[in-house]
Amino acid sequence: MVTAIELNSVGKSFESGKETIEVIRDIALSVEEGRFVCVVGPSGCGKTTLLRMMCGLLQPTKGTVLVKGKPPDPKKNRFGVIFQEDSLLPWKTVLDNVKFGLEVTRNKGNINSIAREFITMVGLRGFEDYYPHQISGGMKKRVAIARAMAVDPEIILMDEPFADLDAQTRQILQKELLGVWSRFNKTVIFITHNVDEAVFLGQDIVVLTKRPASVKATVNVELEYPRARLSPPFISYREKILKYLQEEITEL
Amino acid sequence: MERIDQVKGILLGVLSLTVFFFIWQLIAWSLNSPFLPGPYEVIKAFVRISTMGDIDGYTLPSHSLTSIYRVALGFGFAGLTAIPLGVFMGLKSSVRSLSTPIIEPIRFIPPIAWIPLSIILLSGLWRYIFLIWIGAFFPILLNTIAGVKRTSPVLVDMAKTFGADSSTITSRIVFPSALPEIMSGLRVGLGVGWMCIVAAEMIGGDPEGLGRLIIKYANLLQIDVVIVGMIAIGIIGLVLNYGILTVEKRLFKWRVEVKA
Repeated sequence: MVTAIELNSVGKSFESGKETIEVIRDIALSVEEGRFVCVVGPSGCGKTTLLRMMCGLLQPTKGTVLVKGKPPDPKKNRFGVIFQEDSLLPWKTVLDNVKFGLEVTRNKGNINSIAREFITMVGLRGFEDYYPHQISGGMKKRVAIARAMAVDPEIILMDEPFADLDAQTRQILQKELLGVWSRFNKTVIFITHNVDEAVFLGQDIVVLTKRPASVKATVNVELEYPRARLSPPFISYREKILKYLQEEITEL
Repeated sequence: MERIDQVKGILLGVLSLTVFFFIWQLIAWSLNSPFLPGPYEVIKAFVRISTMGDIDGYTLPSHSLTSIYRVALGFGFAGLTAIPLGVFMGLKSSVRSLSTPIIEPIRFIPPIAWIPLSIILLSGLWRYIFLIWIGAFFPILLNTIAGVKRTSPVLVDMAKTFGADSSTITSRIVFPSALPEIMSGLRVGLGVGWMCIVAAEMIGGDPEGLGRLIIKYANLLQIDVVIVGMIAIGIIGLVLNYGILTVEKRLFKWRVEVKA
């Protein structure tokens, strides 16, 4: 198995005036190619910081982050990052938003037809000429997924992408994401604070401690897809992870 | 319903103009001064200047076009200098700190105060360009800076994760997202620049231009023509502003329209 991402005793602190805030302490993690890994942790524990280090937006203060054996560099690697906030360009149509990633990564081939293909994949055929303000929050997320997938990323990094959506839309998008993942077999790092979401999606679930965050436990979810939310094993996985998280929260 | 509201709006507009002209006429009658003409005298003067021209033979349209040309040049220079500087200042806080102590006091100096210096330093068309530039520059600059600073960080991060370099981010994220603010800066700048036309033409020396028309006839104590010049400046300013507003609306359809 090839290792997609490797974190070796990674630490990260921020300078804020005279104070130094330690956000991440000594995280070690190794993700094999093609895995779907969920990262859960108490809110404000540094999950986003971790993700930003994985795609080279931030540099670790200690340790090393390696993507396919080298420090991540968006100019060399191809990342598909999906943010919690709306990251579509409001002045561009759905089609032009999906093309944006392809243009910036200087993708070869027919950008137009690649973009259309991925818009169709996320079920937005017919909405190519709409502007972001004309479509719903769930549709915007689908556009963001299409934009990320279109560049044929080595790794998909998702930072609580469905947190702002209503429960139904959230569950639909979770299913769709699993469909996309099984079709392209990409490595996915999915950050969430929602335990139900993590157990539904992840092959491995990494539970982080409160700040400064380190790995509290790694849980391998041995359930077939699609997972039934009400099945006893699903619920026991949920309870196991909730227990880990509760320990962190009550210690506050 | 909307149709009825529109008609109502137009009727109210006509009504307020009628009342305005009526009061004006009333004041003119009651003062009975040769220096305060009523609307009728002004309309006569308007027709006279438009068709036969002024004492130098220039008609109102040619005065207007000359002024518009000068303002267009000054405004063009203002846009070409203020937008790049504004983007630069918006992006780099060090540039902002360096330039603020110089720019902030200068922007409170009224264009008229620059007249003596521009007479000494500049000549010909450059005097007009400079005075209009001074008026139009700051609204454009300040709006550009504000627009650039308001760029959503998540859009910048998004572009970075695709490997965009800083020039791509500036041209494809920062500039387009600041464009609505830049446009409203241009609109305000054009308005202020246009209002500087009288000051600019006070020192220009040429016999043509709306500001010059006003000054010429003020010296002759023919106030009817002065008012014709004032009204022409007002109406052209209104049309210019409306023109840019229309462009803004077309260009920024993607901005969610907030209905009052």
